[in-house]
Amino acid sequence: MFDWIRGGLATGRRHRRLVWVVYLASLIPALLWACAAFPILSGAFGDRPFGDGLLGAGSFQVWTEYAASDDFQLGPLAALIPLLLGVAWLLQILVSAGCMNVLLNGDSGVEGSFVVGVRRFGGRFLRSALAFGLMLVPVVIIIGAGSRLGRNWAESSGNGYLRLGFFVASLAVAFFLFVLVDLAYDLSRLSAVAWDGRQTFRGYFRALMAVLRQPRKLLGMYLGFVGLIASTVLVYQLLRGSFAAASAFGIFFAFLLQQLSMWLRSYFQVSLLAGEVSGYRALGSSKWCRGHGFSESSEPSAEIPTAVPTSEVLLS
Amino acid sequence: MNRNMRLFAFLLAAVAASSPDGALKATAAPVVPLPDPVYEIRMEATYDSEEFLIQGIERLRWKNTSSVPIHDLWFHHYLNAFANNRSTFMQESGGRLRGDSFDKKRWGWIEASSIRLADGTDLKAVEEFRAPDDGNEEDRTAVRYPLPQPLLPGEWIEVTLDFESKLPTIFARTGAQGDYVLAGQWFPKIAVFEDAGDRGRPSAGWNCHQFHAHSEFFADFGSYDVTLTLPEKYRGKIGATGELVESIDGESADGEGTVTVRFVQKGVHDFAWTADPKFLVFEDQLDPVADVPREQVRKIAGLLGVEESELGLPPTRITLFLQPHHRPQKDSYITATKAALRGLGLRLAPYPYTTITVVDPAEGARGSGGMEYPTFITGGTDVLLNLPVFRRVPVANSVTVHEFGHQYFQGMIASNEFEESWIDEGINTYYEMTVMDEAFPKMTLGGVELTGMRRMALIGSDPRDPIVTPAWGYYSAGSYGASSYSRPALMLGQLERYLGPEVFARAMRDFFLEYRFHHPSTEDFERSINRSTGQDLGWFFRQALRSSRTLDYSIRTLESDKVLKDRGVFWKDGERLELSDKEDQEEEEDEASDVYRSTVVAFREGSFRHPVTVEFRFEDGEVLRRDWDGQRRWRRWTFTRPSKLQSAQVDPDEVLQLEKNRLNNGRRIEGRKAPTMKILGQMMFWLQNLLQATALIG
Ligand SMILES: [Zn+2]
Repeated sequence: MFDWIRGGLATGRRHRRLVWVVYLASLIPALLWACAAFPILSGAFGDRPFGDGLLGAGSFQVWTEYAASDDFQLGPLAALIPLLLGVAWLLQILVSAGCMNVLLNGDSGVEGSFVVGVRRFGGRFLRSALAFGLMLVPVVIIIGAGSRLGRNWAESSGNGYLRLGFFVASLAVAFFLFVLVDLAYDLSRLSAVAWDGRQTFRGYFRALMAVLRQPRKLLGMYLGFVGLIASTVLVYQLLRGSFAAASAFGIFFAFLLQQLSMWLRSYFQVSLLAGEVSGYRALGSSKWCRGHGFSESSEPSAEIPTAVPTSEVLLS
Repeated sequence: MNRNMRLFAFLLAAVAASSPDGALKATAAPVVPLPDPVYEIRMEATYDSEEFLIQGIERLRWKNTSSVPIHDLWFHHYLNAFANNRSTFMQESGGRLRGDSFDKKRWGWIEASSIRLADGTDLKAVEEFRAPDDGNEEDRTAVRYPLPQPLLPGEWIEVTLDFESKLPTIFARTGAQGDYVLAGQWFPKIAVFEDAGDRGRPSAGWNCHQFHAHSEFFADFGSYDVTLTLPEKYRGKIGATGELVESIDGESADGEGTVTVRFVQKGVHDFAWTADPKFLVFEDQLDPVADVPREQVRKIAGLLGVEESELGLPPTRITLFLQPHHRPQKDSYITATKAALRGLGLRLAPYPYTTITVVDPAEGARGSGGMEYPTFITGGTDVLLNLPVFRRVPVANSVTVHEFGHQYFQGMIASNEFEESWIDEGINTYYEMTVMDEAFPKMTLGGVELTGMRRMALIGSDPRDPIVTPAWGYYSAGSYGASSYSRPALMLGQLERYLGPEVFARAMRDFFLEYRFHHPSTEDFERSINRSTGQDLGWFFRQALRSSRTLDYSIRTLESDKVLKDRGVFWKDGERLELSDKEDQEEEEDEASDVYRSTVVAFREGSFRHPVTVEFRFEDGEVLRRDWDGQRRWRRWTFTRPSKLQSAQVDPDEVLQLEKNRLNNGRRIEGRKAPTMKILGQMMFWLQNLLQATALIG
């Protein structure tokens, strides 16, 4: 587990270009949105002393007063955010295709490049995403029904701790199930890239079986990276709380901190993929996304480097 | 009478016991006589926890305190609001109230099987249900009994009612859920007979409204002596209005163990009780020395202009009935209750009862939370608030402070909640904010104090109703809420800033002392405040209380330009002189740069007219203020000064709490990018994080 995390982080460091791609994939849409919001906000706060409150401790109050007032014009832009999320998701699927190709097939030469990855696997990955989305449905239903039952039971028992327990437990179970489903999603796509497989649906469920057979180490690695990703936000919050950012320098410094935090987050995101590559290899680099008929004798679409430090660890 | 003596003795003993060094002599509390009862109720009731059924006998002695003969008796049968889906309450609420929905598996009802006069005459035969507010024939929440002969002024009448009450699943302040019971509005309750002139009435008559979705209650002051018999599982876990004077174990007719408790209280207008075998029961006491900081006494004495020695508080017994899963919040309940006892007791008058009972509703019984009955309040919290992370979230504390505050506004200032809900809810919300900000200054939501949170309920929207509107006459539940709670509370905050804290505090205290144990109306409030302050605030009350006017002032335009130097033909000392552009450019610029003409237009955006101050800031640091009566639609100021105008601001001291939009209150000449950049950077960061989150599933 820790070796996969360490290995993932090392691989991430070696592929800084991927980190930049992932970073830009969220920065650019956010930046476009911010550019659209700038004239609206500066129209509201630019020549009004009331806006100065945003620089101090009462910024929440200023913001709520603004949000409730007739001067609030951000509504249409705010309504765009769900759409932006959808677009970002599609974009991230393509980015994954590129990243996985680079991580598995090496970024030297044309064959293993990011662009080739996007072109060759983008379509297949979108289909995978469908399988993944389908698997999320039962997860949501199970969690929804379970927590509702639990809540009713806790309420009829009159014990608040029970309700709290159920709430926390259902969150934990939901997260656990989500991680399993998400791991299978990533591993099946790695298999598709490694073996040029096309049967992404079948591959997805086979990968899920594989994950369920040996979940502990994979889960540990995944949680480790999720922890790292969460820490970028937490550390930012901690640092950000230590200064007021009332001056131009302060605001600029806060901006640098924000973008550093996002860059690190992107780095951990790429490292998670790299960690999953290690996990996939440790599971035997299976051809989940290819039919039995011809996959058995086929070669991987590219040489799997033998120098992967972790490939044998899990096979015992 | 003897009860009064006992109260006195208790106070004396308590004061003496907690007075180690005579320091307390300075803060000895005056004993407040409780009001003479308009009625006396002796009641025995038995609760069946399997059927959620109460069987009771109510012996009522009621006095005609008016100046006219009375020909009938009116009662509230509030529980019938929950009898079916045709009741006025259910039609108005659609079975939903305060985020809670009614459980149609168990309807609640009340029925009086007989109502006998002293001579044995049973009035049941002439019972008629009335719907004075909406004519709804299916509504059985107001009932009238014609009397065989009129009751003359000053006479007492005795009636004995046998009644049966079925408690619904906890909803709208009352009911039972499992073993937990919160019995409110559970017995036939005599309505209020008002004399001509009371609360502005043209003629004498009964004031008996039906039970409405957005309304609470109205009752006279009486004496209660109530004996309750419950299954033995409730032993030691029963709380109620008043003092517990007896607890006896017994046996029911079918051999089950029972516990019988007796509660008595004088000078209150309602009686509620609670029971839950799961309750943890804690006793505490407001210690007039240890729990009341001298600093606070000094501050409030200064505010009121009285001697510190006049502000003594008596000890008050606090009984907390706590759910086991809220055990870590015990101190929070007690601390908030003490803060409210102090905060209101010092500002208005000491709490006159010996006891306050605080109830923590059972899990899933939120509908019974956040409610007030005389000497008895229910809180509202959540098990999540057990976690230390949420210690500073002010939600549970403010509910306790608010409900305790109702002991004053509604408990003692027994206003008509049907017709003028703002008097209790609004004034009480003002005190809730005051006490919260004073006692828990660190408890904020995102850095916003309670006053700021209350503003959120009304900013950005125009009021739909005048504050003074019958509870069932508001445009919506939201309008009832804003008009009864936040708006009047902020209206008082505005008055406080307008009049100054001392004048305001004294006027509010005068109002309280004048109408304590009475039923003041909005007019009474206005009259009292005008008298205390020596001002005619009619212009303010008419707009704030009796209109739905929007208050909003703004700075519309702001200009500041260099004055052009003199050009053209001028006459000076009898000589004609033509001044024209000089050849030398540099010299000209030097001459033109020392005087600016600055023009500012302030605008009244709403129809609420209020005097405002406007502040002008110049680049050389000079700050000027001008007062504007705010009457006309706009006002222009022009300044010719050696410095450029920087900004202008209406209401710089934030006197106008009811301002709809504070954003437009000020303008400056030079735009500033920093606030926008800062907020935009933050928004972009969180948007990036949100978008990046899709990478986990992308
Ligand atoms: Zn209230």
